[in-house]
Amino acid sequence: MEDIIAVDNLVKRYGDVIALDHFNLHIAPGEVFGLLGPNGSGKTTVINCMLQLLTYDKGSISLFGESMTPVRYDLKRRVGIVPQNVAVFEELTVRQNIDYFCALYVPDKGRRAALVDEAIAFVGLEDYVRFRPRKLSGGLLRRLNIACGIAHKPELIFFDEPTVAVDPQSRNAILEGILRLNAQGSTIVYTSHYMEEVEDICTRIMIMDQGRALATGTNDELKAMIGTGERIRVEVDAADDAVLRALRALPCVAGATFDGAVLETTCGNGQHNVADVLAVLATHGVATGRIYAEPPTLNDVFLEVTGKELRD
Amino acid sequence: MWNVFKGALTVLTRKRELFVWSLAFPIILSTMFMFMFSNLDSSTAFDPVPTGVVADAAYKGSAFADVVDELGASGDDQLLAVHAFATADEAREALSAGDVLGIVSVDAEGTPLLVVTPSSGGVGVEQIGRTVLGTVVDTYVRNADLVAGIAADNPLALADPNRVEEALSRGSVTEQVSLTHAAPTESVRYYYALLGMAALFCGQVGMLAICETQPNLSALGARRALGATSRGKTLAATLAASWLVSFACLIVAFLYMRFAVGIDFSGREGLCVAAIAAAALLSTALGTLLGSLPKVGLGVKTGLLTALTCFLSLFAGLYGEPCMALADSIARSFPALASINPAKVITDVFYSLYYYDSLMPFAQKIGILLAMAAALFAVSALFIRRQRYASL
Repeated sequence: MEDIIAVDNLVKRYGDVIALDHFNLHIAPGEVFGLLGPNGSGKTTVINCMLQLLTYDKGSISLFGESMTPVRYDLKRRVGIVPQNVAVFEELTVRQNIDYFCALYVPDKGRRAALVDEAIAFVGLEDYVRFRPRKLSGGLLRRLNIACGIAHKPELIFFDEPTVAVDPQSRNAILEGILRLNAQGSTIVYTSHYMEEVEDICTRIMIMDQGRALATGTNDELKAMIGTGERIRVEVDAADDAVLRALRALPCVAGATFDGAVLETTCGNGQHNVADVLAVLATHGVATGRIYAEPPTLNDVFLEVTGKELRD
Repeated sequence: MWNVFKGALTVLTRKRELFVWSLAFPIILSTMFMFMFSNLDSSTAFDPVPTGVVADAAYKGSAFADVVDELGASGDDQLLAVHAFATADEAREALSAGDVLGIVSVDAEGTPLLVVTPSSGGVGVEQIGRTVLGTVVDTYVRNADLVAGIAADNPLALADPNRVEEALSRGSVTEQVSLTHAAPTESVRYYYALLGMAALFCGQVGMLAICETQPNLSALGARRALGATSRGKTLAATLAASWLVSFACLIVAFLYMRFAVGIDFSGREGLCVAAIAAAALLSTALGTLLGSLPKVGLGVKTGLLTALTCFLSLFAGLYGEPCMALADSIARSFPALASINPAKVITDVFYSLYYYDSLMPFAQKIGILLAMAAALFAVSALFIRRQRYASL
């Protein structure tokens, strides 16, 4: 199947700073593709380049199999954008805002009226159609921002950090909405620096940092790329050096530490890590309390790939 | 494009802050002008001369009484404000008190007599009033002598009323012509200058509208630029909406001046509307230029527009007689300088309609306005034509 987005060798400089460094991105139709990276990693820049709002120094960009240029309004008509900052008219009501942005893509008033109604229902703003944005809470504003971006039923939708400064309830509603849009046939590009969100909804993920694509794959594929498997934490009263040495001697264990209350063991990818660790503790007569076994996270992936925390 | 125009129009009409300077300001200031300038115009108007009349039997039975009654009749051409007194003493008291400028009475032969207060020197309203009274009485006496002479020499001539009227009239030795389209009134220039200032303030409309279309100036501008409507259409529709709002504000101010304040536009209101359309175009162009300036915040742009408007209005003569004299002096000495001041040009557009019979000066000023608007739009295009940006 032909890629819906094809970015090859894209280079974007801001003076001496390289914002995108020979960046490549290929997304197939129907994907929920996550661009994960810290602030300033180039996520928004690559979207603005794809949508021809920013110039770039080198590279090629194709959408829907066709080369993208600033005047390819036929291609832009098939794209929706939900920007990071809420960008709506303070002077227009909720309904008027959605209608205005929908009209940028759908000139026909009759057809647009149904689309606007549908978008309002989709984001659950039926009770607020006559409200001006200043009367809306942060979560409702984000929903309005989304409605303005999706009302024209685009085939490809960019969500640029849509959950920043949103309460957990609204965040869940937004994520569910994105999955519904995908189920209705839209391809989604979702940028975030919240790894949990990306893990939850994305079918494929790209980890970005300093304008470069560091790793791309499914959630499991990314985690499989790194050596870290489970992190096993056991509450114990005491653990001497002999216990720690015995744990480190296990083939599946990469490291073991004890802080006086919790024994933490970092394991590689193995089938019976917890059982092996508990067996060693039983052999040395260590009484155990609560046991936690945590699978690796994207933060572990990011840490291993970049040497720094994603939340830095 | 229609949708963008409609949206921009709705947004602009709901920006209340715009209407403070563009609409409320000229209305409030023209109301203030109305009170400030009420004395200015009346000081140059002619008031009926307060005249005492000794209304005794001789006066009441004379033909002169009919003349005085006619000249004292209420109306636009009322010459005398007649105060009747029963006796000569009462009339003299009123004269001494300054209630009247002169007393007329009639002697037993029916000859009018005039008594006036001594002149205090100089040419003032009182001096003019005394001259008027003297002229009235002299003319009556001369005409009465003439009719008496005709009656004595050729009584039949009095049977022809046309010949009597011809004899009594002064004759058309002079012809009254008007050098101006309307009788000049000093205060109208201030209202016209106020319209000029209001037009420049309307630049805010275009300025704000453009800021909200530019990706490098606002998040909203960036969002709009990502839509599937061409940049040219978006800008054209936005500017058309800005022009319409500016035009509407100026029209309301104009109608208020014309009908509430009663400012004379010399019966050329239709052409005034055309002038306002051109002024609104210029203000939109000015706002577009300021709005499109890159790397300058909206607050700074607003400050720039306000400062520019106030400064240019100084040279349109808005701030009082010395400023008006300064504006006239600059226009005489440096006509080119006056021609590049949009506030002055807009003021002069209205004044040329008011003052000149010919429409040529009006057409010239409109031409200058349109040329200035074209130049401002052309410079603005250098900033707003970009489709893509190196950074946002």
